[in-house]
Amino acid sequence: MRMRKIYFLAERCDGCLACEAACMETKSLTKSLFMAKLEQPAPQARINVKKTDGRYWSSICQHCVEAMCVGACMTGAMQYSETGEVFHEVESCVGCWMCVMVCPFGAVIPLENVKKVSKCDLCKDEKTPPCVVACTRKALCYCTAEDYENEG
Amino acid sequence: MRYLIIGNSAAGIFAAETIRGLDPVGKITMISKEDCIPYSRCLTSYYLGKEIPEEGMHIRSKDFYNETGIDFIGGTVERVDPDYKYVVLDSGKKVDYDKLLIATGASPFSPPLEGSDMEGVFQLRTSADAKAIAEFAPKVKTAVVMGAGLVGLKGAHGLHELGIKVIVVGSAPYLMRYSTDPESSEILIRLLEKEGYRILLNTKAERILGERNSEGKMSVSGVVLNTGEHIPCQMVLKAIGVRPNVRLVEDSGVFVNKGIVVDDEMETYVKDIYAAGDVAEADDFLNGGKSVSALWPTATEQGIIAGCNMAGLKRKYQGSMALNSAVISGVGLISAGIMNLPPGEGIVLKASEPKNNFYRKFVIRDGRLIGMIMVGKIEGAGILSALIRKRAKVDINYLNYLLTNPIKYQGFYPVGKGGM
Repeated sequence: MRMRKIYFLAERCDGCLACEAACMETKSLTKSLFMAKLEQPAPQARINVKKTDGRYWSSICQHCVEAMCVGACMTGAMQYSETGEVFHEVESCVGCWMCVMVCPFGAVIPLENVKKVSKCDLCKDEKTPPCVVACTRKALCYCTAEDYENEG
Repeated sequence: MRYLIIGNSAAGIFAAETIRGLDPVGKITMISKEDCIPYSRCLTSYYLGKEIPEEGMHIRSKDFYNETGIDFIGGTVERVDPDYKYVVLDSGKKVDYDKLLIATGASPFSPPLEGSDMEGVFQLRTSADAKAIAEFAPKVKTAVVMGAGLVGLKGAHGLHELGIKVIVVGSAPYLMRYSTDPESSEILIRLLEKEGYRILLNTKAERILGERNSEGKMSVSGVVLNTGEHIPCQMVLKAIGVRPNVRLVEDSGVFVNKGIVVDDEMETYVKDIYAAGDVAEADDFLNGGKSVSALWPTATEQGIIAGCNMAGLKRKYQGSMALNSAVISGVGLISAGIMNLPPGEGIVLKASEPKNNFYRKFVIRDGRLIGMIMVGKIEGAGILSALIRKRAKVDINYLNYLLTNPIKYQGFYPVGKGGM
C-alpha cells in the first residue's frame, strides 16, 4: 500500500503539544491560533497527545485498512478514498456517533453542537500536514508504512 | 464463480463490495424486493423528521451496481434449492449460484392487536414506511408510539420534529431496555418529557379504537391501555421489535432457530449458503452460544466476513455484542456489551450527574470490562468498546479514573516500536 499517513514515534515525543496547536490553527476559520481560541464553536484539534505512565501517546486517525468507523457509519459519510485513506464526507454526517462508538483510537471527535464528527483528513491540500511540520522532535512522520518500518 | 446475494442493505452491500475487492472477475448478482438505490434504514426516522432529504438516506450512489459490476434483479426470493443450487423468485425466474448469501434482514413484528388493520397504523422499517407516515402526518395531532426501544424512540423523534404530540408506550420498566439501565433511562425520560413527549412505561396498548373518516374508511381515533386509560390519537406507530426474514429457506434444509444459524465463517449448516445481518443467528461474543443481533455495525461486519469466506479468503467472525448509539434531545447515549448483570455478579462502577445529563457505568467481570453505558460526553467511547472487544485485562483504578475524566487513547494495546 502506497498510502501515506501520520505515524507516531512515542519515544521521541516530549509532550510539547505543538501538533495540537498546529491542527487547531489549520482547522480554525480564522487560521490564527490566537483567534481560534475565541471562535464559536471552538475548533478542536484532530490529534490528541496525552501522558500515561511517563510517556506520551498520540490519538489520531489511523486510516485503518478495515476501519470500524466505515462499517459502523449508517449514512455512508465515512468512506475509503481511492488510495485507501478513510475520509469523512461532512455533508452526509447526521451526528449519530456510531463512529465514535467504535473507533478504538478515540480519533473521531464528536462536535455535539453542530451534530457532526471531525477527524484527521491528512490536510491533503498541504504538502506535509501542519502537525508533522510543527513537530520539532520528529515524533510525527508523514510517510508510507514501509518508510515507517525503516525509520527505526 | 457466481455469487448471489439476496438483500441490498448493510450486510448485502458490504459483502458485495468485499467480494468484488477479492474477486474482480466473478459474477455477482443481487436480488432485492426493494428496487432502489441502496439506503440506510437507520436514517428513515431522520427523513421522517425532515432532518435530511430523501437522497440523504442513500448510502451508495445510483451507479453503485454498475460501478461494482453487480447484476441487480428486483424481486422476492420464494425458495432456495441447495441441491441444484438455484433460487426461485416470485416471478418464477430461476437464478443459479455457486455461493449464496442470505442477507434478507428482518421485518417488524407485532403481536395481534385489535384495530391494527385501520388507517393510521404504521410501522417504521423501510423508506416506503417513512414516506407513508410522512404523507399521513399532516392529519395527525397526537400519535401513540408502541415500543420504547431504539426504533420507537427514533420514530417518536421524527414525529415530534413534525410538530406532533407523541406518547410513547413501552411494556418494559425503562427506555431502550437492551441498551440502557434504569438510571440512564431516568435521564433520558426527563429529557424527553421536557421536550413535550409523554412516556408511559410498564404499560401496554390493549386495543386501537377507530372511527369512520370522510372517505368511509376506518381510521385510528384512539388507543386503550391496559391501565384503562383511553388516549385519543390519530396515528399509532408500532415499534415492538423485529423478526428475521427466514421464510425463503423453509424446507431447504438450512437450519433456522431464531434466525438462520451460521458458524464462525458465516456459513449456514448447508454448504455454500451463507447468512449475514439481521437475519443471521451468529456467535455471541460475550454470552457464548448464538444470538441474533439486529444492528447496523454488526450487519456490515458480518457482511464483510461472509464476503471474504465466499470469495475464498478464510476469516473467522469474532462474535457480536450489543453496541448502540442514540441521540436523545441532543444528548448522546452510547452503550456496549453487557450493561446489566444479575445482582452479586461482577463489579459495577458508576458516575452519575443527572443534572448535567451525564452518566457513566462500567461493568467488570473477571478483571475485564464487559459492558459500559455513557450518557453525555461520549468522546472516546470507542476506546472502551475496543477494550471489551479485545477482552483486555483492565486496571480497575484506571477505569475508576475514566468514570469522571475524558477518555483518550493512551496506547493500551501491546504494539511494537512503542508507536501505534
